[in-house]
Amino acid sequence: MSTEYLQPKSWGELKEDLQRLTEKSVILAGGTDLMPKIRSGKKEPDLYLSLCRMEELKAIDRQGEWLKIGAMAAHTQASEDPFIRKYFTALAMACSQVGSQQIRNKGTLGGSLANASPAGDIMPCIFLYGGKIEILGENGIRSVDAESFLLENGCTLLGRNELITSILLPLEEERKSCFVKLGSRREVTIAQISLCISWKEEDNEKKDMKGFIGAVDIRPVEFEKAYLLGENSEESREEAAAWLADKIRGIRSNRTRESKLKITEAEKLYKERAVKGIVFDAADWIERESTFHTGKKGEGKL
Amino acid sequence: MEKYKVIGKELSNDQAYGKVTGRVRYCSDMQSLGMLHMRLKAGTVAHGIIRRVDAEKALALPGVAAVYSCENTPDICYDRGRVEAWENVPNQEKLFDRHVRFLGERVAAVVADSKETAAKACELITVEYEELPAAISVEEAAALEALPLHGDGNVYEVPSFEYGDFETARGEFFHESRSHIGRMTHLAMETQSCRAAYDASSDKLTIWSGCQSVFGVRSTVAQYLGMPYARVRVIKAPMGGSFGVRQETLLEPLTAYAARMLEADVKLVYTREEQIVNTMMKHSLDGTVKSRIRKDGTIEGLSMSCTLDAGAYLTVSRGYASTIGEKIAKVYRMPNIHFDARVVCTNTPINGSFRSWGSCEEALLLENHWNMVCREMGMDPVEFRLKNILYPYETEVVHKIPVGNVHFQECLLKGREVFCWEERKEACKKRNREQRRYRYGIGMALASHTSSFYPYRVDVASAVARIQEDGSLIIHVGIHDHGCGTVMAMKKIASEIMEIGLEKIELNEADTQNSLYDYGCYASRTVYSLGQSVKQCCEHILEMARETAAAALGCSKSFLRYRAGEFFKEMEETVRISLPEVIRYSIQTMGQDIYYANTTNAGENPGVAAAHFTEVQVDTYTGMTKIMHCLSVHDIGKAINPDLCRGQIGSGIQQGMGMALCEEIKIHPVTGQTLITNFKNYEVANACDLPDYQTLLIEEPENSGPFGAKSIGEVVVVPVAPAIVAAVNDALGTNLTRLPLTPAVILEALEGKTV
Repeated sequence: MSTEYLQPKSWGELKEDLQRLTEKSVILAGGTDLMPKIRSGKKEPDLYLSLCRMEELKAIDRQGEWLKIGAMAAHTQASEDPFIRKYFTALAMACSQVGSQQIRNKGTLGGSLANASPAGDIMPCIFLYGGKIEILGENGIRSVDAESFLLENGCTLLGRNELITSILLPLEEERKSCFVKLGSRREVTIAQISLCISWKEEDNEKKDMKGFIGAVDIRPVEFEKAYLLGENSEESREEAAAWLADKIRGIRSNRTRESKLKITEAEKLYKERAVKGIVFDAADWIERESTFHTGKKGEGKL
Repeated sequence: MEKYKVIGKELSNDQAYGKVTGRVRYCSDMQSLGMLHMRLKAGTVAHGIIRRVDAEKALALPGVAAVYSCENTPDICYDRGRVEAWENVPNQEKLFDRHVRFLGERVAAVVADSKETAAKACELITVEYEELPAAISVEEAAALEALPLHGDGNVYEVPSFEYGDFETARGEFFHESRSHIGRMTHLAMETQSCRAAYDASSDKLTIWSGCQSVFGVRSTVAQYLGMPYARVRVIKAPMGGSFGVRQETLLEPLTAYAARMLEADVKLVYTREEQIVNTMMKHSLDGTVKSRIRKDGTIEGLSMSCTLDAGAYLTVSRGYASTIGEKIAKVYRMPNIHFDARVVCTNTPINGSFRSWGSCEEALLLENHWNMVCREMGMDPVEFRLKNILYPYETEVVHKIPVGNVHFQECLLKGREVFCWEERKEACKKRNREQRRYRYGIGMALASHTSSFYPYRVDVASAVARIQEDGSLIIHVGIHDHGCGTVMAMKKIASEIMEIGLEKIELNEADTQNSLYDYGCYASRTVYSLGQSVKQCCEHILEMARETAAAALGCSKSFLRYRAGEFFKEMEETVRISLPEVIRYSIQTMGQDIYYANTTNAGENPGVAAAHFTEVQVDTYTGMTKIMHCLSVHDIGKAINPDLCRGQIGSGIQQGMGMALCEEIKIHPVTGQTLITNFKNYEVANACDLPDYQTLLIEEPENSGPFGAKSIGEVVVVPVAPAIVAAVNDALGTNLTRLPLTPAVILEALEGKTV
């Protein structure tokens, strides 16, 4: 069986090629998740649509009140982008902690969103910022809220002949944010829990705190008590950790499918026990935040 | 101290250039015209009998040359652990067995013109099973009602060992500890591969395999195929790491069988999943240690009892278990010792050879125990050990042989000083008083390992050297470089004696056609045993050259000195003759080649000493452990290549960290499925997790080794895990001895405990 490989360089070519995709076709947008699947024989594509020559999809530009991030922007690129670092710090932090350096150089933000892995680090950040996702389809480009892009069952609303072209994030001068995650090891790790928080800094006070927690359910879960992390007290941190532990416990008890790798009771209970660690990490970060942009490299993996 | 030219100098592994440029051809890189590729089909039941194998569709696929299964292969048993042709081994394995004993076991193989076709054909094979109840755990398999996996039941006792009488040993304090070690995979970067080519015109079979014993592979394959040993040639291929996984004969019988049947060149390369499930894993083990200790901290008695899960086939497990006992008295003086062990076959993947062969297990059980004793008695772990260690040349009581020039005391004292043991101890205590999120602890462990086979078996080490017309040298030695640079060590030894440049020495690795007999490169014996053989061989050939030079110069050989490839008269340095002139005179005038074949039998087995000191930080919120600092002190005799020794030490620290903190192959307790079959889910200590480790070599020369060298390859991993376990327990005030100490295990231990 022969496999076709398409590599459009322009919008015109891309639109044309998009119409040729069948149920078995795949879109190559970095390949860090896709290629292992193909190698292991889980997918046998009849056609690859590679986006690697679509230079326009790699751009990160300001468009009025929005920051437009091309779907083919790589994690490394995003983590180093001055706009993203300034206005969407959590996203920059998340991008700087995805997988290994090689994965970050190759893997793209669009690819991560389309793949929609529950353990993905990007989706919770897009939820946090109330971002929009631009989708190219038969009738041109449409834009959807991130929260409606990811369906309740964890799938995306991308159709067979559609792809993500960009991510739009609203620019707000005063909004600050951070992202922390807990993996099974320090680096080159997949999140077991991730937490992203954003807030407004007004008169040395933290207001309008929002938060999302990732990797504990098929969709990012809203952290309704994120405001506790602005209070800067041991008690409020403990309360936030307890609330999240309860939340994770609830999700676990409602789950019908058992986790394949978590055999012992200690392993099953790990996330709800360890969530305290990232709550404190996030709170520490929020406390230190004002020094972030001039802060020394390596702190917070940025 | 002697001045050496290359010994002790820091030179890289001689394969480094080929490896970093991708030019080394591993077995899986080898290609030939018409080469066939084999892929395996894995079984889908943990225990069962194959009723039928339907290969019709697979055989109909274009490009498929053959399908092998229990329906069409011989009902002959062999043993993967066999090395000597006369060795008494369990012989339980067949190419394909109707009786399937673990989930994922090979049930069929396809040979085709491409690996893709072979893989596709595997999917087209259907296998019908009659399922049997499976015993996944050791307890289930050892139960009376359990179905026997083999004719002789599931529990195999290992001969016990008694020295003195533990039961009546005095000692005011009695302690008991239990440790558990999980299964591990070897993590060799190269997966297992084998190429076998049968030449029908000469009835000769050639096998390329990155193995640790070409003669072991040959004895197994030749006997299986009923071929004369002389017509089966096994060539050691470049190896991308072993850690024990290349010690046994795994892929060779099946690949060779297919090559012979098809009169073809056949290659089998494992996937990572097969590498994990279908080679062998490190045994999971449960052990109990009891001790009687005097008030002053001297050991009066020790009792160790352990149970190993052998997996579905016994293979080397009995020997592995008994080795744990044989290594029990290599470090400490203990007047009363009891050791007993058993291995149990279960319906799970096979466990077998792993780096250090029992030393890690023995050290984990013993050192965990001593560290617990120290915590309970309030003794300092270094002081406790100083009271009980063996002195140089003291007799170890199991084999009743001296331990050689081994310096446990110096390792402990230097290590304590360099690590700043006391200062760190105080600093940890102080920080822990704050009762914050992070806790700090220090730990240490002491260990030893072998340098040869003596007296377990006769250590036969042979080398052949031939001087070439230009004075360069060819050496054949039954060496199997694991990728760690033992070939370079041999070249350095030869270069030091012959006083010729390393570039003029060609050293051929093991090849049954060109090398003299050798059991194989394990037990960390390569540098000590084979190195000594190479050294003596070179000394001898140089003496032969001296005699020829004397004849050529018309003087007594006692008048001749040798320097940098030339003989000369001490009194009259202008009278000289170079090696090329010597070989020319030898051939042209005397009519003789200059060569020598040398065999040595090591009559000693000097111990090496290793002390590991470590400081950890434990995050009590997430359960994550971070190694803050560590120091490994090694008495390995003279270091032939110190920077490679330091590299080895780093590899031991990395693997020991995995053993202590994260590495474990989980098997589903009900289905018997291997749950971790890739590196995504197998947690190892990564480069970024490694501390800036410190090493200290104590280079007290061992007289029986080449230039004073002993061994290093395995001992480096042995003390690391128990030292980390001790440090974690020190940090948390716990007594955790079930490994690995994953974040989940640590949080479980802290649940409800105020630290």
